Amino acid sequence: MSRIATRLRELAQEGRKALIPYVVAGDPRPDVTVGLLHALVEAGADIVELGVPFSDPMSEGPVIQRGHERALANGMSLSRRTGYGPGISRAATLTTPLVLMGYANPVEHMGHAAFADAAAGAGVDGSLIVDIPPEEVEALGSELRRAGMDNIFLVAPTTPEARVAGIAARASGFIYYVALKGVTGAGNLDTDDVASHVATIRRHSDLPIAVGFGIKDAASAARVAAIADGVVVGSALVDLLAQSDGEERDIPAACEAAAELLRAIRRGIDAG
Amino acid sequence: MLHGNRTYLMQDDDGQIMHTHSISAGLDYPGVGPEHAWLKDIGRVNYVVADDREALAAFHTLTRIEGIMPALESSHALAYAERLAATMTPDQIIVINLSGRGDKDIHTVAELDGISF
Repeated sequence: MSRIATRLRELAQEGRKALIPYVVAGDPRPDVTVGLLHALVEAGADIVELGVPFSDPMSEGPVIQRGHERALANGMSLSRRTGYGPGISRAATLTTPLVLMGYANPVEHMGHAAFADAAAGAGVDGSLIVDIPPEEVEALGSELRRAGMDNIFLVAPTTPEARVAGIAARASGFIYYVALKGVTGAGNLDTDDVASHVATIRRHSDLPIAVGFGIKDAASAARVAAIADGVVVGSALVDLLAQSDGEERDIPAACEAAAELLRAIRRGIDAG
Repeated sequence: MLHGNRTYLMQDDDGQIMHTHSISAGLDYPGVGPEHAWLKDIGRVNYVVADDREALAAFHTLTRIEGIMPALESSHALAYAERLAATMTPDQIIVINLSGRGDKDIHTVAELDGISF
């Protein structure tokens, strides 16, 4: 059983919900990322999702897009040279499961086998590639399985039920439900609508379901945690990290503000 | 792989998509349609290049000689046709798909040529 599956099973046995923060590798600065991941774990993260910077991150809203731009400007990228060397591999000292969330082109360019080997070698537990449809995923999926990594998929509010079944057949670790029609960080979270879609996914999969997109504070996280097995928080954290705006002196304060928000969300989820 | 297409892309060594520039908006994209990628791979089509300067010159040439204003996208094909024709005999024929009209581009051309209306 993977570290992701183990962690989610432990939480379920304790009657707790998973808190999954998302930050972009190399944002606000590459040498800050690993320390930030540890701070997020201390603040209550159960699984950490690390965004792999991409030039065209099409599922992201403006906040996370700018995070990708800052990370790329800082020289972070998915390759053996810049990505895993000083940056991500040190995150392997975390005992918390680590998921890479990114886009297909850098992975295709690196090669599926090389990506799976490098990620698994760096201690990564799962991969979520946003723009590979389930029909096309097998070339990467077989390499992830070989490397012992989970293959995590998004399900959207517009995903037809037959397609949910196809995704469930290929997914492992957990399924990530996108809470709204739009990009990351958008507003208008409709809890009833989320509950109905989560129920649809449960008809096709026994995997835990994490919900993300549009969860920005303790209150919205608690509402979603009552329905799902986990909550993903991204834009709200990346927005706080952006407050540092590359200014040397502000980065520790920005990281602490992100950790403080996560602590508040943790309390909100656990109280619910 | 970009925007759902697995195709030839302008990208760096890390698979990051590069910035593009072309005088014709329809060509200002870092990839080609996947049909073209396939036609290239099976050797059915030979792809060639024309730059902004050549395309602009071809725009003026067709407009002046034939009274037909080509789109800047099509002007790239006309530019190459001029080069290709120079290697052919007078009885050989070239077919060009003049895929768009150039009146949409007159403001771009005017700006490049320093003309104000």
